Amino acid sequence: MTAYFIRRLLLMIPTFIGITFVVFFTMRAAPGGPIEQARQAKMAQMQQQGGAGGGASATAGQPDGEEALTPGEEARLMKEYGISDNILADYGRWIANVVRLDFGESNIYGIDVLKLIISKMPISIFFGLISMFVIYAVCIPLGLMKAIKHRGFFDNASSLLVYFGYAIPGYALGALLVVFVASNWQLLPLGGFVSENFASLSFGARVVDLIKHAILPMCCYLIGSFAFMTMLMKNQLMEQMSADYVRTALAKGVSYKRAIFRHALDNSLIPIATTFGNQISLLVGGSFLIESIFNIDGIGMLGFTSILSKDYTVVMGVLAISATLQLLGNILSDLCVAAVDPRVKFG
Amino acid sequence: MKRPQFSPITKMRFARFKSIKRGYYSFWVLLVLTLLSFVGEVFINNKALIVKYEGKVYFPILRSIPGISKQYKGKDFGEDYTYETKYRELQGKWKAADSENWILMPLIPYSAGESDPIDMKALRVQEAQLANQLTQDLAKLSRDPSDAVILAEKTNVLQSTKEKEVSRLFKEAFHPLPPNSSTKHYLGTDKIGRDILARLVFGYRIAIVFSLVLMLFSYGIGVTVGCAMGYYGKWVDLLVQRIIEILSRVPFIYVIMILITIYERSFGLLLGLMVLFGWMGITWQMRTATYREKARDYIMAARSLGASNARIIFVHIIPSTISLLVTFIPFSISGAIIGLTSLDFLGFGLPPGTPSWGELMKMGTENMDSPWIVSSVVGAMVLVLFLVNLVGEAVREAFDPKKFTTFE
Repeated sequence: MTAYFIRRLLLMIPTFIGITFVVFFTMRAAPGGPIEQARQAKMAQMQQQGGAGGGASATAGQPDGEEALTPGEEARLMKEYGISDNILADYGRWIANVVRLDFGESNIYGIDVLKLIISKMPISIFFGLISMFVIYAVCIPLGLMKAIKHRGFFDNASSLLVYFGYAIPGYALGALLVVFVASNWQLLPLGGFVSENFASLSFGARVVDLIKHAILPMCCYLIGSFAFMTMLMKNQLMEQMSADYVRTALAKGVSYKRAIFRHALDNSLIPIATTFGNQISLLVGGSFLIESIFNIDGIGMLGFTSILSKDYTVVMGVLAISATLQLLGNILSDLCVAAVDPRVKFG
Repeated sequence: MKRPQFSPITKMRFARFKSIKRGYYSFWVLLVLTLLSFVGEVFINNKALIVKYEGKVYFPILRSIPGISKQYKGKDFGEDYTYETKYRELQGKWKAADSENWILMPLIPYSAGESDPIDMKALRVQEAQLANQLTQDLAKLSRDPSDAVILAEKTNVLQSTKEKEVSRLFKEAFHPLPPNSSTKHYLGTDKIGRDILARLVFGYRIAIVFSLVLMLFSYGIGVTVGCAMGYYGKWVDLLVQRIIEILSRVPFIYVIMILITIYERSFGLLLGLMVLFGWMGITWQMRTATYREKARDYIMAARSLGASNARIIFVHIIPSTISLLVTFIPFSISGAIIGLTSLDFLGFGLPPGTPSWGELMKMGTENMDSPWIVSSVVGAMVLVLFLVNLVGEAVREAFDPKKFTTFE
């Protein structure tokens, strides 16, 4: 078993290289990298100076895009951004730096990428932890109730909610909520993580402010996994309840309550445990669809905006960290399963 | 010739699907909605269905298929312009003139790409009326002998009410317009004056075609590759496993966003990318199913009778795994619709101008004073996905029934 997990850990390496290389390669293949941006900035600057110097000469001596940067400047910039003509060599350098946890500097913000990502983590962790807590706290009892009252009124009524949860994607709910609840009825703030005057508030007011801002995005984060988890719990429990060992227990005179809570429930929680390992990725989680609707400055937005602004080092940094956490999370999930279910043997 | 027959087990599955009423009816509703959207031009169009002009009957709608024949020009119906006839305008004109000629317009007389022009003339008339009213009121006021301060105040009040009236008038006349049956914009218009219902219907059509084509391709790849993985095993399996692991973790939105800057947005590019990142799920399922099927005795028997690999795969394995594939279809479709809509929402989907739910939703979140945009598009989305999910649930129950024991 230990050998198995060591093998899994080692297999992470080629996968990690594969993932990052695909994105690295597509990014380099696309036009509009930092060199071109510098070129454009320089051109704009030159045009402005030319415009200030006098109209006629400026239009006559329009600098060509290629000539805006002198070869010396270009070489210096290429060195600064770690770009050469050889993509493989660049990628090798990037990987070598990543192993030393050096993700480089952001082209746009000019600060260390790792620090930038860590600075956005609290938002992801906040939403991740709360949604994890709510999901487990609501879905397990709800699934339990639905399984016990299968086809009863409670089951059918809550199924409607679950089906609704399946049918509406989180960001669509977000669009609806932000337009009606926040904008038209003005019940809750439109967006952002906290109010602008957050620093000046008292502790109690801060908590209220945070909660007010969190309610709507939270609903969007929850809705998808709410439906999924509730149904998973229900189906698992139903399966266990119809298993022979429960029937045997009942036949031997164990009370119905005890048969469910002591026998069936424990076993039906095993698949729930498999989802536990993946929670590690909530460190850098966050959907930019939801973040962009509610204008939350989290990791999802960071990845999204850095692609738009071609901030390659940040994109690669976010990707590297989230890919690693996801891969680790998968292994962790298997470990969880092995821990709760002694029958499972990996190898 | 022998008619192809469904195996008894397939018949039983269909019967079971039919017996699950909500799924069965949802399937029919969806089918009807989809078929209606394919002939949507008959209900939603700015071309007239029938024109009766000087004793002759014309069918402009039949000329809406591009490349078949030329459209009717204004001068064909006695107008003085040579571009395509503006049927809505002409209808109003003939009606007002109480003429013998008449026009039958579709239920929603707007097309999806067309923005409904604002009737500036009527607006100016109304504005002039208000101005007129104001001068009359002012004249009345000046006849009223009272002191100058109160007079000035009253004038001010009158003037500001007039201005408010005018601005209200303009605001109501400009897009986006709220839902209104008298303008025949039953769900209102969007920011640039296009009919929302028309865009919803044609957006649905594109989304459903997109998801069906996407499904076809990814299932084709998935079945081929998955079968090969499961049947041949060994290095084929290992190699493809690694590829799947890598591809399914590459954030596909990153790749799309980068590639969009190189290539023009198009249906084909988007489809290709979504296939490239979407074939893994079904492949994985197919691999597992093939492994399971391959280990069965009847495959062994077939092989010992001398059946070739091709025969075993195509005659035995694929038909017996088909039921697994069917159960995934509804979920693939809802996934594709959600995926396409979210890409359009972000502006990385289909080419701009294509009717799309995502684009409408984006517009809705940007125009919060016009809540009807968001509510209609989310409503449509929930309706369709709800139906698809009901069908999916029923199909799964029919094809893979789990009989639960319930205790009293």
